[in-house]
Amino acid sequence: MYVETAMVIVLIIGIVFVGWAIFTVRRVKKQILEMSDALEDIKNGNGNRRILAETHELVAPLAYKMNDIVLSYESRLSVYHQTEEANRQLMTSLSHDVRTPLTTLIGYLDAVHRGIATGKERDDYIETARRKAHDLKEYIDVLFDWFKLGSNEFSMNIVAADLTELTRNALTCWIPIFEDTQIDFAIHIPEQPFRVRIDPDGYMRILNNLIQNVLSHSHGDKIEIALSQQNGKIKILLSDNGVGIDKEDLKHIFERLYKCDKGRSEKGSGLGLSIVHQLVEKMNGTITAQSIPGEGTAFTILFPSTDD
Amino acid sequence: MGKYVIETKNLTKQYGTQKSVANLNIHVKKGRIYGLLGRNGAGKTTTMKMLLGLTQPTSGEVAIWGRPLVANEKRLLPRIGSLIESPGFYPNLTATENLRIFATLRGVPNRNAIKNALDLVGLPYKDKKLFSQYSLGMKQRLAIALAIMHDPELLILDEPINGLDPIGIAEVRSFIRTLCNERGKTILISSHILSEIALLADDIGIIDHGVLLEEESLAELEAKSSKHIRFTVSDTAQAARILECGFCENQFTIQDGHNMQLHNLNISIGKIVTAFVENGLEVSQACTCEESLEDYFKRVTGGEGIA
Repeated sequence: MYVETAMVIVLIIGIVFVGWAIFTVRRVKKQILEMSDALEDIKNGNGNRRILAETHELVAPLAYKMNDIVLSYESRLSVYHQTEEANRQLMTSLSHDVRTPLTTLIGYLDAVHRGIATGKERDDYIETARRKAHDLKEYIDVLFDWFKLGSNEFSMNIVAADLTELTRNALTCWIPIFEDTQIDFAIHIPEQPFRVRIDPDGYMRILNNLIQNVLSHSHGDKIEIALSQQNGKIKILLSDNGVGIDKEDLKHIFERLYKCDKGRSEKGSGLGLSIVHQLVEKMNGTITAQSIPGEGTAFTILFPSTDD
Repeated sequence: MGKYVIETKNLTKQYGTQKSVANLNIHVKKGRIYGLLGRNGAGKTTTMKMLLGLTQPTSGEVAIWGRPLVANEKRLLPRIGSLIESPGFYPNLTATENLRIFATLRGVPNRNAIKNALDLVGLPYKDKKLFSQYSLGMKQRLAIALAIMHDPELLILDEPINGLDPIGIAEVRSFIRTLCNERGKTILISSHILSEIALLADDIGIIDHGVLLEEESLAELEAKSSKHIRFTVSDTAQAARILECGFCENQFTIQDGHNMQLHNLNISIGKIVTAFVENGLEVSQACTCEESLEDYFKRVTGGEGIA
């Protein structure tokens, strides 16, 4: 009697256990099938595919780990794809930025060649063509710099230099231009030297690009350049009283090919500020921009001082 | 696998005698944002419901990732995240508890899926607030969290910005953009707001009275609707010189040896054409394109104001 009851209980437990085991095996089998299906898809290049599992399931840790791996590869691939996309955009805008001025240049030369223009007009045409050729060369130089910076082939000659002197030298070329274009300027450069380790040519290029940017795009009539030293850093502040930059645009101004005015009225490669940004970073500095639309924009560059 | 993530063939839905969606053929490409643009009642939601198998089409087919949706729902639907009208959340549970129920039912891609999804839409994790106490905007955020919780490859979002404040709208917009640009997700989004679609979508399908009027990339649409004068001439180099010398004009772009666009509409076409011809150029086409995207939308939908 006692033994029979025990046997029945054991039997029932056995049946329940076998039933549960069969159920589990079936379920896991189905999940493994689904996982292998998803993995096949991932293998074929679909990095967005995820394996879904409920947190308490047997296969969950495995599924989650696979998702982690796929995700980490996917994010690395995504950087690559974005670069590719940026290059594609660059090619498109390049073909436009080069084709239009080049075709126009050819237009002038053809007119001379065919004898359409004679005398003074002919000379004017040749002069215009020459000027356009120089503009194009300048654009292509900028482009090459930018490519070199991007692929780390830009050679830097980092030396100990006095920033106040470099800044004064750079500005001497600009002052006549400010006067010609009737732009008020205020320059504050202290007497004592500010010693930093930078590439002097690179620094010149940074200043020139920033000032050129103010002249071409700000529509302001006042520019201020100030050097100061604080907390072991040299600060270069360059501000204007121009149209300013919208908050939304401000986030992107150091990105390549970003142009605030979507119209075509303003010429520019869209690379100037991107080059500035890369140069500053390569010299261990930082650059930030603040702007109030309608009141002006201020660029702040910080370089570590080597005075102490 | 087909070329498109979503492809429909003559998709039709008829309610009584009225065709809500008629012979719709849309093509959603991988890794792009497709904006379904239409006025209220144009058939956007019905289309999306048919794409998700929530309602049966009267005729026509839906293929997702190249597979017919019919009979493959169980394999395809888990890979899609969707937001159609308001999902059925339990009013007496918190946001986290609601999501946990769905996580148990559908499975998730990692252990922190619920927290990640809530973080992404800016709702607190393990908050005590019940769903019934949520504002409209918070409910919408939770619905978006549900749509993205399982990290789907394809998102189908029906008017996702409904009920959100301006900051919320900007957040959702940039978040959708990031999903597409950085994670390569495919997104189908519907809206009746033209400017919203223009900010977000790569491809646009304009739908009106259940009929797809236009399906094009935003770039093509913008090119179509940008303001310019188009010239086709025998020699663009000479044309460029004449514009510069004769009209002091340098706002033009040259496409190739024969086609160019002038971006200043204030110059009379007649004068330019005369100058071109006088200089021995053949002008085979000159036309003004000055329709804004909004004008264009109004024209193709045949309707009045939309904003």
